[in-house]
Amino acid sequence: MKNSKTPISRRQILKALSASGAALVGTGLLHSKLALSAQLKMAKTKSDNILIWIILRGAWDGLNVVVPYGDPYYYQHRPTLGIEANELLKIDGLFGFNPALKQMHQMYKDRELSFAHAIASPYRSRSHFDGQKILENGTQKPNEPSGWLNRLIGIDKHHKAIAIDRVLPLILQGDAMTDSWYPNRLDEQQFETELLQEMLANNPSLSKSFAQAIKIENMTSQMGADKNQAKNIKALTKQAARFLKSDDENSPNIVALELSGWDTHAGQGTLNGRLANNLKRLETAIISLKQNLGQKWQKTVIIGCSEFGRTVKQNGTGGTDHGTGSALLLAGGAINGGQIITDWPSLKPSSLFEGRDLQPTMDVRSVFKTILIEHLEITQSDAEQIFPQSAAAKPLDNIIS
Amino acid sequence: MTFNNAQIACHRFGLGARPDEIMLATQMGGQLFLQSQLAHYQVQPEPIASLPTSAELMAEAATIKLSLRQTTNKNAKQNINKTARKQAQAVYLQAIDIRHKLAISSQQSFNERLVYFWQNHFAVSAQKQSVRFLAASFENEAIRQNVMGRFADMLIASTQHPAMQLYLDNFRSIGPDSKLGKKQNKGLNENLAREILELHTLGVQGGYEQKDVIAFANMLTGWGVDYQTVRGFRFNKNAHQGQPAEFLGKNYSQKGMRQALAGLNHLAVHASTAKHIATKLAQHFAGTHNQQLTKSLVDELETSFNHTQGQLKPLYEILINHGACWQAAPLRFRTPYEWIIALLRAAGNVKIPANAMLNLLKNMGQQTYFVSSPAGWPDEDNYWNSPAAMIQKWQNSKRFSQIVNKNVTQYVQNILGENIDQHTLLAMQKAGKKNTQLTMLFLSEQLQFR
Repeated sequence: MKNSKTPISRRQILKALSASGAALVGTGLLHSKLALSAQLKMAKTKSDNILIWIILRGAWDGLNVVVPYGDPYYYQHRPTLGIEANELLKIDGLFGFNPALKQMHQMYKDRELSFAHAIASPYRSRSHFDGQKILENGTQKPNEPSGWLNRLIGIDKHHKAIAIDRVLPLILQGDAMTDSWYPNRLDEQQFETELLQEMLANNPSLSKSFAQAIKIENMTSQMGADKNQAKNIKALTKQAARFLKSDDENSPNIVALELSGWDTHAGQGTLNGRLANNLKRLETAIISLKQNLGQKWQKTVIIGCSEFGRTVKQNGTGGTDHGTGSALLLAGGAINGGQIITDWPSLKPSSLFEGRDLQPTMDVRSVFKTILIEHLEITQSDAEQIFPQSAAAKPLDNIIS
Repeated sequence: MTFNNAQIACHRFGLGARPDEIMLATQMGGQLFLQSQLAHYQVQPEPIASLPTSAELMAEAATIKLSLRQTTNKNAKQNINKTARKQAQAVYLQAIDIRHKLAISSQQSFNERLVYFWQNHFAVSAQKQSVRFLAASFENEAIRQNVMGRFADMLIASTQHPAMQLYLDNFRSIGPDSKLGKKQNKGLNENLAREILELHTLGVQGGYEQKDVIAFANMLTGWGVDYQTVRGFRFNKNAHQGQPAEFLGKNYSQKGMRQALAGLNHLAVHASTAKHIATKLAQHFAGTHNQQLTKSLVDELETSFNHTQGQLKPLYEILINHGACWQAAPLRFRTPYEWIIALLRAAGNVKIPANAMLNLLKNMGQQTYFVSSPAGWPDEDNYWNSPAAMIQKWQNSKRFSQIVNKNVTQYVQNILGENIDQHTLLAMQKAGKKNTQLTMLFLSEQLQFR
């Protein structure tokens, strides 16, 4: 952004604008068409293995998602917010699924869904915003500006990622090229495209955004995306699956989605209420992804997780406040499902983190690194580079099939 | 691409140049142009003054609540609720329409930017149904009244405003040992206490612990809403914890409402608050293009905040006079709201239907007062500068070119004066049709950044 300015008089502007002519347009088009075809030749082959990242912004209450009903302290902490044992979709003597997750419970039985429990990022305070930053940048510092999926793509060019989002989430921000897409009604206007490409070439961030925007627009129109798509989860996940199934060499094998609304300070509910509603939305997303991915489901890993959990005790307003340890969802045909992966710390008051939160006994980066190594074929040393200073968070056995 | 002095005054400080503003700022010099806006700050600019106050809105809500209590019939109740939701939506739509009109027409748009800055700092979201009808009156009362005053006054006004009480749940928070707490077995809600510490005052690294959050939440119990008082706020001593608290290493044994007031007054002049506010203001205007300059700006703002115990006007004067804010390079990426408003301001007295405006903002992910969290809209370029945003802008450029479509040359003169970037000019030359010319201009670096 260091170009010089030359003051131009109003008269010059007038003259320049009225003198716009066909000859000039012609050279511009020719020039950018050549540039475009050169770009297409640089396309690379992509990985077959799919990763879908669903960030559950707002901190979900892991204790009421996968409920430790067998822990003798659970109902003491949650006299009215605890979910009755006979309502739960039981797994074993300790855990049961929230009754809103009927289809996901079946997937668990079919061994294509697992949860990790009592898990957290390295973040140990209770700000949503810093917590999300650390979850997405994969470091211990909220101000690190690049996301861990972006670093992954920087290291291994077989992977390409897209965010189904109006903006670019931190997990995809950074030096490597990533895309974002959201439904819109843009008509194809090749002429404007080429003019804009040329005009914006001077500004790195704008030209990068524009190039990505065009690529994605072309992809969606080839695949016949419904251009009036509403922002509803079915449509968004269906489109995500289309991107992932595309044979286009530029299409992504990694998708970042988000579901927010988990910050249940009040009105959390048990069988009904905010948490149950949100869980149903999440289930809709998972089922829709499975249906729309078809054969590719077998090569898919879905991660669903939050920045942290919520207090073990219910608060005074029918909800829970910001906590620490929580649950993490894994789904997909490529996982070794049907497991609750946990070293359960107990809900005994003396075992709680700072006397109030579920004590984390596992680091989310252990799960992420395992997926990078076993599913996305990243070497362990590259995984350590993607998650700096995380050596203590060792990869896990048996979570990927 | 670079901006000149008048462009920086109108676009980086203000919300974009109105016709003749570039010329005025050039004649006066950018600094003086901005100083004179500060000097002419109006608490309630013309169209805002006509909007209903919180008191009026709360009184209406009280009538609705009363009729709900007096009705036993389920259907009738449903009808009342439906009408109430419709009314709240109408109040919201009217208020944002007027906000947008003021943004487009204001001759003191630097002042408007400052109002927006603080509104976003103390964000309340109309996404929450119970807050929607008050979102605008929060801005027009708690914020506009105090923009040129003391930070402490704004903090207290914000905390006591019914919109904030409702948004961050404090009206439900009950001291466990209070009369009500014992009788109903109800308890604390930490939400407001935490966000005041984290977002409004000290900042997340500001040196508080979980026990401070709890202590402060206890101090704030009893603060709530009342649909029948003038300000919509009330202190309910039956819900107040009413015990001495140790908060940030100090003892607070004041009785009743005075306890949390003392806490707020302490927070408002705390050194961490000074740093937090200084950092956010500097980021809003100077970004991180030149980290050394930004740091020197932060230091100066922080020192002033500490010296004056949180007087706000001196901070704006520092912004106006510090080199960090006058770098010729583009420093900040415009949010969708800023981009839309800037395009419309330059068009003169343009008429855009309220619904069209609402839909534009919705499509671009920044519907007025619909912030997605208490942290407000992210004030970060990377959040907004994305491929999806580019497509949305491109799509909407066609609409804007129809709205603006008069004399392209005059429009360029209005928005940029004599200094138009060569690349933009070239693209406009090639574009041919007026609409395409304007699309080039709207998407140019010079208009997407400030």
